[in-house]
Amino acid sequence: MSQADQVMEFQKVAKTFGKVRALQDITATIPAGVTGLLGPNGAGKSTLIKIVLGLLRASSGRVNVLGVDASVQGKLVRQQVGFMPEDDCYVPSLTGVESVQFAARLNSLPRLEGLRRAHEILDFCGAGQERYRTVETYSTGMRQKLKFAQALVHDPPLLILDEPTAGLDPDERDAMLSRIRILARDHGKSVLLCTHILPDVQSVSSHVVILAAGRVVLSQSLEELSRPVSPAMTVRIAGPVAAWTESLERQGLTFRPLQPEGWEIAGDTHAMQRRIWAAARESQCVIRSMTPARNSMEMIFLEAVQAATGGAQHADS
Amino acid sequence: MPIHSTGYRPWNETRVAPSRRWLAITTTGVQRAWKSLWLKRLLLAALFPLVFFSIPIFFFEQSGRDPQSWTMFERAMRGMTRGTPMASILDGVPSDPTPEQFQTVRHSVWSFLLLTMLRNTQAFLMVILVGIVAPPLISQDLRTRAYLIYFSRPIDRWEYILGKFGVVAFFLLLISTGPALLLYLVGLLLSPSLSVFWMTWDLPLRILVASACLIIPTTLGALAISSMTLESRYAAFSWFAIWLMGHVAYSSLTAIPTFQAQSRREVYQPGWELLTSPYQILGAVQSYVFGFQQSNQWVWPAILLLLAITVGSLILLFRRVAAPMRA
Repeated sequence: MSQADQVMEFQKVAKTFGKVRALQDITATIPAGVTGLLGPNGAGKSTLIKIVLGLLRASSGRVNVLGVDASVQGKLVRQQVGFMPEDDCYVPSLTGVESVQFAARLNSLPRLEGLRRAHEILDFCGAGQERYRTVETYSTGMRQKLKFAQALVHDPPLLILDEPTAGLDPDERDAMLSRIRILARDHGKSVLLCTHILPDVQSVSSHVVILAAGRVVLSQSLEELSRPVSPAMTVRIAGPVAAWTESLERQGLTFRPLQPEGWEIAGDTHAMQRRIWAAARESQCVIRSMTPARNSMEMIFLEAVQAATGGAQHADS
Repeated sequence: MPIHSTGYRPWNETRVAPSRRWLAITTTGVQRAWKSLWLKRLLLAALFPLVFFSIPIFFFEQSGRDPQSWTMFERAMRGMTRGTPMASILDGVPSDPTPEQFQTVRHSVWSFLLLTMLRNTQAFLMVILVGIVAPPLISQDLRTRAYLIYFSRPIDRWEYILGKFGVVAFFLLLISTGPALLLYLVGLLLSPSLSVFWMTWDLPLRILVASACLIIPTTLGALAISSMTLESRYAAFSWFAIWLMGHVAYSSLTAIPTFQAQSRREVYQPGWELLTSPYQILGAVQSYVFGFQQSNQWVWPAILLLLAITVGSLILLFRRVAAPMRA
């Protein structure tokens, strides 16, 4: 991966708090685009973000963010990064638009330009007249939008979003993910998306990093990760299940049921697909969809974390 | 989506100098504090002493042309100057002063009036004003986790402290330095000639130094208290308690010696006792700045104590303000 294609680089990064090893030997490269940062609670995600922002100094190793050494030039890094924290945070008694303008001014935007930009970003975030209310009166969803707008107002090339969809209703969640997609696709922004909501990562990310027990257990493109070890098709049907399975067996196909109503059938050749259609015709079933099988994010995550924690326990014992 | 919305647009205009980032914190802090009705009332009240102290200046300047005004001025000043070095200065002026004698005391009279205004009325207002403005400045940021907004941006601890300092300092300038400089200007305008400026040019500088002695330690002290709690009301309570307890301690320690001195028809000059009260410490230093209490051996310990409060508060603030980010 060339320097231009990567936004962050970690080289043997470790962080200890007293006797607690929060991060151990983190070596990874985060490419441009949307990257999902996943990990169970206590995996070290927050510590890693603080090190990226130059707020914590790594005990050892180097962190390079957009070509800048974060441990030496933390301020420069923070100038180029928009950070949306997970925690609820606000400056009391300011209205929404004043809050975003304030964030803009902290990033050196002129006062009036900050106000103009704040309105523009709040429009982009779908905030209406509620921008003129004080932030204390905001709902969780509106506060999420506000934090997102504050992170984005100075037009940073890199966004670090910590649980951006937490507490949002399904419509708002879709809208938030859509905004992230637009920023990455149409405006060339790189996004580090830290979340526990795995479908969010699968929906917008092109790369995934999984942390567990303070180590990077997986760092790979989502495309590669999603591809099953052996080719298969995922088929969703409507009709009598018993007749369908009997027909599949008669056609000599290897299959297994998937939740909630799908089937994974081994192979992806044209001949095999013809046999699936034949089985459907024979069993009087309707094929609702037939797509190449993908590994689910849940599966990828659980396998990676279990392997890491099992390994860590093994190493400890 | 509103009809005028154009979706996301990149921004690549000229940014302001990074050295001015703290000003964003100050101006936003001032804007927030300005919403308090009590603060506005207090700022208005801070102008009344200006009117009050303009009266003796008027009579003093008038007495150069009208000898009767000197009598009125002396009478008005008698209560105010009792037990102060100013009393002996005025005693040395005859009841019908010549223009030369009159000129020689002008500097002292103006200094005394400026000091009295700063030390008495404005210092009292300062305690109330700082008690209103300063306590929420940092404690509220800690409670609402607003530190995440500041420190995830290119703001360091010094800029944050300077920004918050600026909020309190702005209001203190409005109630102390501003009225004092205006009083000086009133004096100039009421004087027979603007050439009086050449005799009193040092007074604006003394006002600035005295204001700095007032503003820097008190603001930093109040901010340090604010950084030690998540509850603004506890910070406000601590602030007022420190001043009240200091006053009670000083009054208790000096009550008997003052009574004994009065019975001997003398004026009791406090010694180390003034170090027990922040109000007396500030007063002693400001008196020194205006040229009074030059012989008081406790002035330098008072100055050192103010310095210690300033440095101690800065260290505490530096450690406290970004601590949650490192946790």
